[in-house]
Amino acid sequence: MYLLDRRKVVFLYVIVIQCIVLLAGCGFKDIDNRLFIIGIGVDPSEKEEGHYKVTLKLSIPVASIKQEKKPSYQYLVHEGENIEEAVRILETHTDKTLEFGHTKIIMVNEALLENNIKDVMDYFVRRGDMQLIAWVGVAKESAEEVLRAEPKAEEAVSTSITRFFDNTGTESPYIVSAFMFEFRRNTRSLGIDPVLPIVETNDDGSQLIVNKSLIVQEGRVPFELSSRLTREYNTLANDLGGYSYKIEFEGNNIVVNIGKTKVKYKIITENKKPTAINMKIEMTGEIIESDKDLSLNNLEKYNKLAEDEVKKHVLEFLTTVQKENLDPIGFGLKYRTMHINNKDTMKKWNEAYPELPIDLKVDVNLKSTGTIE
Amino acid sequence: MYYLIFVTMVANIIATVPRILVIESKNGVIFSMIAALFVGVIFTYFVILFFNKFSGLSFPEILKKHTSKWFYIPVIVYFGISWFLAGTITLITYVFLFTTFVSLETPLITTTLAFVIIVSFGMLMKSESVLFTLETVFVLLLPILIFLFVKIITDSNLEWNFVQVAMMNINITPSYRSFSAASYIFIGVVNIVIFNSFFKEKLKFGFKQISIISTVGAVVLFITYFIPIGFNGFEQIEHMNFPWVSTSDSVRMKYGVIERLVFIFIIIFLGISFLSLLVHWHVSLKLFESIFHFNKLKWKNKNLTSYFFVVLFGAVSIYLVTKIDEFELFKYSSYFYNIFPLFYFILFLSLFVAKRRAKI
Amino acid sequence: MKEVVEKMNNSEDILTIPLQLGDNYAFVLYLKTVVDGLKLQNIIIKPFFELKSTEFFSSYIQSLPDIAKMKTGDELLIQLTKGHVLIAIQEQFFLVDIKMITASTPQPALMEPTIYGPQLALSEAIETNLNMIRHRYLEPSLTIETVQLKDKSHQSIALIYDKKIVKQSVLDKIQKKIKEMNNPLIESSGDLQLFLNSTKFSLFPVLLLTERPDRITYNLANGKVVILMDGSPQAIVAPVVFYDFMVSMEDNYHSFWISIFTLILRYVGILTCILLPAMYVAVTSYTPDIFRVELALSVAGSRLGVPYPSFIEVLFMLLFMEFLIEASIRLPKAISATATTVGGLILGTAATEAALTSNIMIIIVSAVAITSFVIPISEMSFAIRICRYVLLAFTTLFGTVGLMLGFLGIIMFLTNKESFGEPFLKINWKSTKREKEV
Repeated sequence: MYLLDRRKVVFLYVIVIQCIVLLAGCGFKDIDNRLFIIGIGVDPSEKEEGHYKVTLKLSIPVASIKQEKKPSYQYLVHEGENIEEAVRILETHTDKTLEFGHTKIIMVNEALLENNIKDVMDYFVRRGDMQLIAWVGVAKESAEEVLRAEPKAEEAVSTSITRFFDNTGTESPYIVSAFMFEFRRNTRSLGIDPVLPIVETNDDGSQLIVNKSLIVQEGRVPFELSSRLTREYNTLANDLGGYSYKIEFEGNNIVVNIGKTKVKYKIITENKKPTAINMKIEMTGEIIESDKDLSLNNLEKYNKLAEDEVKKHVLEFLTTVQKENLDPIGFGLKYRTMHINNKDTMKKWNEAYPELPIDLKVDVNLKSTGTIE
Repeated sequence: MYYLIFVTMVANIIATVPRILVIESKNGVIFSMIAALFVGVIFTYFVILFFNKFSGLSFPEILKKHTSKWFYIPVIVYFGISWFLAGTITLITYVFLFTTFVSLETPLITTTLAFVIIVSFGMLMKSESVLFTLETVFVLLLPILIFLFVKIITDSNLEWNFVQVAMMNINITPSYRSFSAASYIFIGVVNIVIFNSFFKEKLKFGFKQISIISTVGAVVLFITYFIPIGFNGFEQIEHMNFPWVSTSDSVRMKYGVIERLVFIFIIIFLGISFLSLLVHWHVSLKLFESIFHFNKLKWKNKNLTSYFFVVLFGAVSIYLVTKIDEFELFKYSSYFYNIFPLFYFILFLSLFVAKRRAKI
Repeated sequence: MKEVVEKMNNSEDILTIPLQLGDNYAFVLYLKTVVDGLKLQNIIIKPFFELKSTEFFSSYIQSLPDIAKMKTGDELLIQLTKGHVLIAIQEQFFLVDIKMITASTPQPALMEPTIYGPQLALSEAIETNLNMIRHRYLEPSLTIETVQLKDKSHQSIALIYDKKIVKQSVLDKIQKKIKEMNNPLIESSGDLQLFLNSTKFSLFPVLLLTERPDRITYNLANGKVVILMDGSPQAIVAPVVFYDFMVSMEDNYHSFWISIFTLILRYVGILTCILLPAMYVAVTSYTPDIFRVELALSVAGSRLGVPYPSFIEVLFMLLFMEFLIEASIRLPKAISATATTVGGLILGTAATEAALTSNIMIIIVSAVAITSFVIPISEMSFAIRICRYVLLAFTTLFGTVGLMLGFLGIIMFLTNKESFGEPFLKINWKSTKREKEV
């Protein structure tokens, strides 16, 4: 009896194994039959109006990462009426399945930002397998060129563009980074405007430069922030430090390095109307460069000087964006959080914003003069 | 007991509840949620109170004892169907979600089949084992769940300003739809209808228990509604099909082996929705079993009634998965939530009748 | 007496020795092969010639510590085969136990070694074992019940429990089970364990086999029932829960944090062991976007050139590993080291060189092999090893969902199991001590 049972079990095993072999068809696809898309670039088509040119940056797996000196990428480029069409055609350009789950970078051509940004982003958000934590960047000149750039320091498995944004490599106040969900959220919400980094390449495509940014607002030409204004934006919006100001006084030149910043702001209202923006910045830092000997006793004085300098820069940034009626920091949003929602909350704000006075208070606290006096 | 309540609460995060709340975000969700919280806790309190009177007896047993046949058969059938549907909604929602976000190529049926096979086994277990499973899995998942929420809430990209903006919409009168959806998260307690037979002692339900349940309920409701808004903004949140999955996809673990939090989220919620499915279907099965008993269905001295129902459940859910689309799922599940107060009403009515008869 | 001889006459080792001194005479009947000749000489034959009369001798016999109850018929024969000596003094019959015990020395613990704690395990003789247990557990409430098995081996088994704390329902169930048992041959306690297990196709053990006397006493102190069987150096502990299999005796000898750490280590090990192979299939073949890009790419890179799908790769490597384990158990100790080296090192390297498997697969297989030995009780580790294949099959069929659901299914299977009425897997809040029960 026991023997019989065992025979039955063996029989069952055989059936199960056969089932596995037969059934393992659907959805089963080995990793070496897939190609990982690392970046997607979207440019306007060169041939036809309203069409897109899609560039896919594919990472090719290598058998041994340590032996491989150069990164190996493949680029697929195609034009189509919409992005999906172009992607579908691109799938026929390769023998493996395209895998969108690892897309880290979405590069959009500057020219598309004004009118088409919603269409472009829609595709990426709608695809469930695409990360919402992909970085969005604006490519100057063309997205294809930016993606094709292969800096020397690039490693075999990780792209250097992502390293700009993810804060594991460089950390700099000049680099703005925007996740896809963040960008989408800020585009569609009232009271805040999204800021995107601009990625440029040098002429031979061996270097990538990221130090400018764009404020995007639907239906108008995006406003470009210079490197310096980008820095101010980062200070205010992300509390980023790690940059320096030059102070001139009494014929001296001091360079102050800001380590930590803390920004607080409030909207002052009277009679249910916004009347002023009250902003307070606290910074700590140290003196990093000077052409004369400094005395520690004078730190108070240097604090004062630094405060004035910072104030000047920040005010310049705030008034510039205010003039353009852009709101990258989200003052409008702040205003909304303070009022029970009704229909004309936003209207009131929009009327008042361009002329709102800004009350700025800067508090710089220099900790040292470095290793020498 | 608390596991039953908590699992249902948490499971609803991936179900259609946040979707409905978010769609109603401009129609006075906050008031509805507060109202639902109160109603839910009171409801929980009364259900436990009633069942304490009949400790050690399950709902069908109580009804059979104290009411007549024409009354209890339709009531139990109605309950059984409701439970089956509640489980099926969780199942279908999860399967859709999984296919959209993780494996686009896998057919819906395969995923559903995987669920149905395992759950069928689970349904046939003893009710006691179902409770133990619930406990074990929930305790295993809880630390990860807490990690998940802490990670999401402490993420620097969570914009609290949006949450505040959403709160500023407090001045709008509540809508019925959001109320019923919000109160649905408290439905877990009703599973007591079957599991009551295992609670031999009276369940304590004093101030401490009430406060625990209301706190957890409030936290869950808060998280369910406000966190997606913080990540996705107030204006466009209503366009999201799966607000919570998109939310968890917005968090990045910089140094994790798994970089995208969404995968942990989906895997954890696979466990949670599995538990919720298991409990719902198990209760439903027991309810059906208590009134139907096919003597003819016999094979090798085993009565196959329960097997029949298990196969039926599986077949129906697979059929539904293939037929229904996302929009219909949303529509039907919101209908389902809308008729839920009726369910409360019938439950109380029948308990009330039973109680009176028992005293006479 | 003649009857007895007749019944056993086909055996050559049955001896009837007539003792005669003057008028006094007696007969001694025994099986030469199982009786301790020296002892027989010392305690029966010698006194016979020293004592004056048969009356004295019979009262001397009756006062022997090894005297056993007189049996009749078949039972008598069984007693004789067990090493009893039948003494006939005129019309009186006595049965004296003069067993020759060959393997009575306790052996060093091989299966469950610890660094600290007792180093000796049970022996193969039930007397020695009972002696050891009594020595370690000095409670007067300790009860020993001896039962004869009804099979051909007629081994005696001993039920040991602490009367004060044992759960009566469990004890009744075990007693009933033993009574009902009728199997042709039971060779060891491992065998007995299987028959006590109620379901025919069982995977997870619901009884624990142990060779450590300290584990036995620890379990006795926790109100469990221990079953000893003559001739096998393992004791059966019942009822057990899942946690019992995860605890090594050493946990009691270490300080709190160390034992917590090792306990966590073991659970992590068991999870790795079950999940890792299936996870590999799920990640490489269904959802490669779970891992970060760098990892995904290096997995993809290492799989380059592997000619078959991932699940065959996993199955292939796992099978080789099982062969290796099986071989090293069966081989004599001197050769088994060579086998593991040849198998593990050379095969592994060569398989990757030949692009039959990926490097990462080799890492996974070795991790799995190591972790499967982390579980202190080897029966559990066998069960876990099989679980792994079930999970692998489920994952291959249904992908990532299958992996997760399969795992939940295993948990469900465990919770549904019960060991003599006690749920097998259950979280016990009331006493945290229970979880540490060995």
